[in-house]
Amino acid sequence: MLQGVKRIGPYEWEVPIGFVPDMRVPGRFFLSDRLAETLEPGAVQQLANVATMPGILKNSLAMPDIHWGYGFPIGGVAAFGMEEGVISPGGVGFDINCGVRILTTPLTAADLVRKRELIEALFSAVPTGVGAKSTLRLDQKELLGMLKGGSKWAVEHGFGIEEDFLHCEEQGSMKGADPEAVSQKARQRGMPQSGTLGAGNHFLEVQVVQEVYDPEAARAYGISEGQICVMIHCGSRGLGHQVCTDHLRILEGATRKYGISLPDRQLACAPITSPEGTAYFGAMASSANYAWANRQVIMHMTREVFARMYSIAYEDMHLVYDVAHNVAKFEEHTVDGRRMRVCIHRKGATRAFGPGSPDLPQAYRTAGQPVIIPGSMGTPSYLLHGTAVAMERTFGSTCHGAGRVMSRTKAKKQLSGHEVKEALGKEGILVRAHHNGAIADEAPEVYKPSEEVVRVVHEAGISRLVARFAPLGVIKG
Amino acid sequence: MVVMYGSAEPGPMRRSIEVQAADLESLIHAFLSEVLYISEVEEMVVSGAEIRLYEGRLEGELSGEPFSPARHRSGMEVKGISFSGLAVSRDNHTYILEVIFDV
Repeated sequence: MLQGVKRIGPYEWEVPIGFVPDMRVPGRFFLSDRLAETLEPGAVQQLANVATMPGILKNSLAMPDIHWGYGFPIGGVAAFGMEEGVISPGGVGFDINCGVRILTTPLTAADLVRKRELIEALFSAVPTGVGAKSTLRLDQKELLGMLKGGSKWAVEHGFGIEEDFLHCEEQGSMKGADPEAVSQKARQRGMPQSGTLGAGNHFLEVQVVQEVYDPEAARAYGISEGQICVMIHCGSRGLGHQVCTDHLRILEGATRKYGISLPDRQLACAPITSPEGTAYFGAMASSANYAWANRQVIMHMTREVFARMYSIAYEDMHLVYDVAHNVAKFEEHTVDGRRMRVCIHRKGATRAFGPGSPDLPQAYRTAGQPVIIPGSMGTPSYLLHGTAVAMERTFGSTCHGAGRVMSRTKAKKQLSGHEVKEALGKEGILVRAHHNGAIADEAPEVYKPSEEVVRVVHEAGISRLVARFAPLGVIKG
Repeated sequence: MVVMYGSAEPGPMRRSIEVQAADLESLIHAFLSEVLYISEVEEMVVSGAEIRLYEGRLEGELSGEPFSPARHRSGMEVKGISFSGLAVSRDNHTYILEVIFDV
């Protein structure tokens, strides 16, 4: 482990004040000895940098999928007081509300005949890859509706059923969205990309529930062993990327204007209630809503394919939940015994609210919030539930995925997409992409082992395992 | 923006960029962000760029061609240009850029 970092529990480490100059609070991160072998020193430095930001509360935190990011580390979580605190695009990232949802079907593995045909049908139905055009044909007015309404907008336009948006974090529609703060450039990028999957690590995967660890929570979530499910992972596409770029520039000026001193320009920020901070929040919330609508539209296309191919009812496929991985939000938390409203940043981290949270759908209040952790291509994904421990220790947050250990460029040099595809095929996992390079980019070897990341959050108690999902087929951009 | 692999020959498309910023790093950041925007909305495969630097201002001329799935291979998606790790140094008459893209 790095010099100066102290172990304070079997899976918890502290980065003391003084690790970098001007830290206001200590850093804390969760990690096993095995994951510590691939910990990047730069990621710990970024965790410490976040601790220098004005108004940060308790700790700068990182989850066990911590790795080097831009501004915040990936896996980073930080909460800021509403009066003295700041908001920063560096704490959200370029892909605003990159997130994941899981859809159940009434099918079991034995029912899933014509699997190759299914993957091809999904690949045809969901626009993926460069130049893929949205089938939505949005005009400016409709785009504004999408930016305001998120999943709810999509359902109202025929892309789902009412229970869908109720089963999303923030009910799939963040309050405070201000489309006026979204530039024309961002809208121009967003319009033709609505309802498209994108590229990079985004995917749509057909999975089977391989093992249930917590039958009671699984029952509440409508999950059973052998069941076929679909996981959808994507974000706010070029619209969100442009919003981040635009507001980073504005907030650079604001950082100087408000006399804030920072160790990394990517942490550019402004007081939460300042005009610059408010504008960023309004644009970011609009992008988050775009992403929720996007995942809703893609899920609609998926349901139609399954309904057609397996003669099952559209309404018999249920959205378990949808979580955001990259977002800043206003939430209530207990800090030093006091209940207060905070601005929480989760960058490559998932909200994990415990049992009893009023933000959860009634059916999930006993079990706690479903937490969806996608594995890398070819490795298992997991469903967990949020806990009271997370509420106390991590502002109700947990990990978001496997976390990278190898850069994508290095992956391409070492791994051939064709070889990866063949190897996965031998395990019965079908992969469909426009070209093999996209497959090498996301090969399992590029990521930390997902089972170890979820084991750490389970053992640390910041979320608990409910079920494991094995991949059967995946489509990529 | 998606990294695209095509011909290095100057293509028929031309686009001009002008950005203003207080320092060299910010100018480079703004320029690359603009390239990213143009390549995405115009589906342009950029094969060349000429850059002129002035005090607080950068002018660029991009050349390239329209993206065609038949002729170009698409690669990873660039989401944004990061200020983290951005460095510009000068060696005689050559600028050396270190830029990290969020992919």
